[in-house]
Amino acid sequence: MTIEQAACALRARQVSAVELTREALARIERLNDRLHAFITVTGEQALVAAARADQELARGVDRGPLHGIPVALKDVFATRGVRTTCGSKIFADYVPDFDAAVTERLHAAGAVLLGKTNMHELAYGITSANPHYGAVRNPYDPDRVPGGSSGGSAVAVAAGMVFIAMGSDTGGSIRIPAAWCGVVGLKPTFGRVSRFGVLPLDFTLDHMGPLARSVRDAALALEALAGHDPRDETSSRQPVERYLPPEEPSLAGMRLGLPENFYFERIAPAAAEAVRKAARLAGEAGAAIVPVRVPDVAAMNQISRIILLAEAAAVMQPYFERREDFGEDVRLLLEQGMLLSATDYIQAQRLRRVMRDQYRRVWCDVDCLLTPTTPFPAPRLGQVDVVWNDGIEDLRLAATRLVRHLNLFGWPAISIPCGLDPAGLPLGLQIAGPPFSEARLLRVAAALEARLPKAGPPAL
Amino acid sequence: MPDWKRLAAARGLGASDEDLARIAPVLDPLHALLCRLTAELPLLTEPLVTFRCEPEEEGR
Repeated sequence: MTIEQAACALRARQVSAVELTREALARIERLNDRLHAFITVTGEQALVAAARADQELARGVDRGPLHGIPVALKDVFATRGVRTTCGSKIFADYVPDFDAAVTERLHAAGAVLLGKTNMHELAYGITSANPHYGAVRNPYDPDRVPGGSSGGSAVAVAAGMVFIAMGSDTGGSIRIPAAWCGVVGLKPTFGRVSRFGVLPLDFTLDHMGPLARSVRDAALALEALAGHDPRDETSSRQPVERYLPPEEPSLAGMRLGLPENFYFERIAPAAAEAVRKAARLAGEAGAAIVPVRVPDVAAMNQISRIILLAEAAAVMQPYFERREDFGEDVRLLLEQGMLLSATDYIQAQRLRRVMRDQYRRVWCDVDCLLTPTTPFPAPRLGQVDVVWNDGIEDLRLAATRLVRHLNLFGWPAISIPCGLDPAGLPLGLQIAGPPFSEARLLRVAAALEARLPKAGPPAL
Repeated sequence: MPDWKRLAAARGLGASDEDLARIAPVLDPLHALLCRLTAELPLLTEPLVTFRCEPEEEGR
C-alpha cells in the first residue's frame, strides 16, 4: 500500500490510523528481533498519536497526505522525551528536551512516529553492523548488510514496518541502503531540509531525506519536510516546489546524461546492465540519452573524505576520552581525522570549490545523470573488501564510490530500485541533478519506476 | 609524508600502536593526493566554507 492509497482509505473510513499503527507495530514486534531495524519503539505514544489523528480527521481537520501515516526516524533526529542514541554508546542515555526540525514537521503533518531506527554507529559507516544495538540485517538475505548508515530506516521501509523513514546522508547513507534494500532514497539539496536538531556527523556534508516504498511517497515526504528554517544557518530560502510528480510523467524532451567514464568502471555486470537498461527505457519513452564525460570523480571522493574525517573528528573530540565506548571502525576513523592538520582541511575546502566548478559544467549539457547507486548489491555481514579482476578495494570506499562526491557539492540525488541481480539482491539506479532540481529528479524517477522491473517485497 | 606516529604522540592522541599501524596506509595516499592537487590551486581560491558576519536576515 502506498501513502496515497492509505490516505484515501483513511478518509473513506475504510481503515483508521489506529488500525494502521497497530498493524505496523505488530510487524515490528514480529520482525525486529531478526532484522534489528529499530533501537527504540514508541508504541504507546504512537497509538495515542494515531487516535488523535483519527479524531482530527473525524472533525474535518486534515493535515495532508501524511496524516495518520506510520513513520520512523533514524536515531540521529532529536525527539522530545525519547532517547536519541545516534547508534552509539556515548549517547545511549541522551533524551532530548526538544524536537529536531524534521520531527516537528512530521508531527505537524500528522504523521505517526513509531520509533527510532538502528543505524551505523554515529552515522559513520555503510554497513549498519552496529556493535551496541545489533547488526541490522538485510531483509532480502539476513546474512547480508542492509547498507548504511541509515540501514534501519531502509529495512523498516523494505520490511513493511512503516511507509516512510527518515535518514541522513553524509557520503551515501540514504542512497546506499535504499539501493541494497530495494527502496527509494532521496538526498535533497544541501539546505533544502533543515539539519536543526540532528546529531551531526559533519557540518558541511550532512543531508536529511526520506526513504520510501515509492517515488511518489518520497515526494510527499519531501513536501512535508522542505522549507527554510532560521535555526539552521545553512537552510535555504529557495522557494519550495510541488514535488509530487504527475500520475504519468513524461520524459519527452528530457536530456538524461549517461556517463562514459568512472561510473561504470569496477562494477558488477548486473549493476551496470540494470542502469543501461533503465537508460534504454528512458530513451524509448522520449528522453534524449546523452553520453557525458565527468571530471576526476575519484579525486573528488578523496577530498570529500578529508573533509569528513576532519569535521567528524571535531564533532566527536569532546567524547574521545571514552575511546573504548566507540566501535573499532569508528574509533579508527576518528583517530585518522584528529591527525589531519588545519591546513589539510582548508586546502580540501579550497579544492572543493574548484571541483564543484569543474563538475557543474555537466549541467549545461544534461538535465540529470543516470548512474548506478552502488557498484554491487548488498555485501555479506563481516565482509571488509571487494575483490575485482584487477585488485582488491576496501568495502567502505567501494560502496561510496558512486555517491560520495555529490555530498561534496550538496547536489540532490535519488536512488530507485532497478531490478535484482542473479542472486535475487536489489540493485539501485541513482539519478542526480543540479541544485534544487528535486522536482525534476522525482519526475524522471517516477517515469522510470513505472517502466523498470519491480523487485517485489522480501519474503519475511 | 607526515610521521603519523610522532604526530599522534605530539597531539596526545593516545592511539594504540595497532591503531597507528592501520592509520598510516590510509592517510599516506590521502595526504599525497591532497599535496598534489593543492600544488595546482590558483592562489586566490578561497575555501568553500561560508562565514556570515551577521545573521542573514540583518543583511537584507
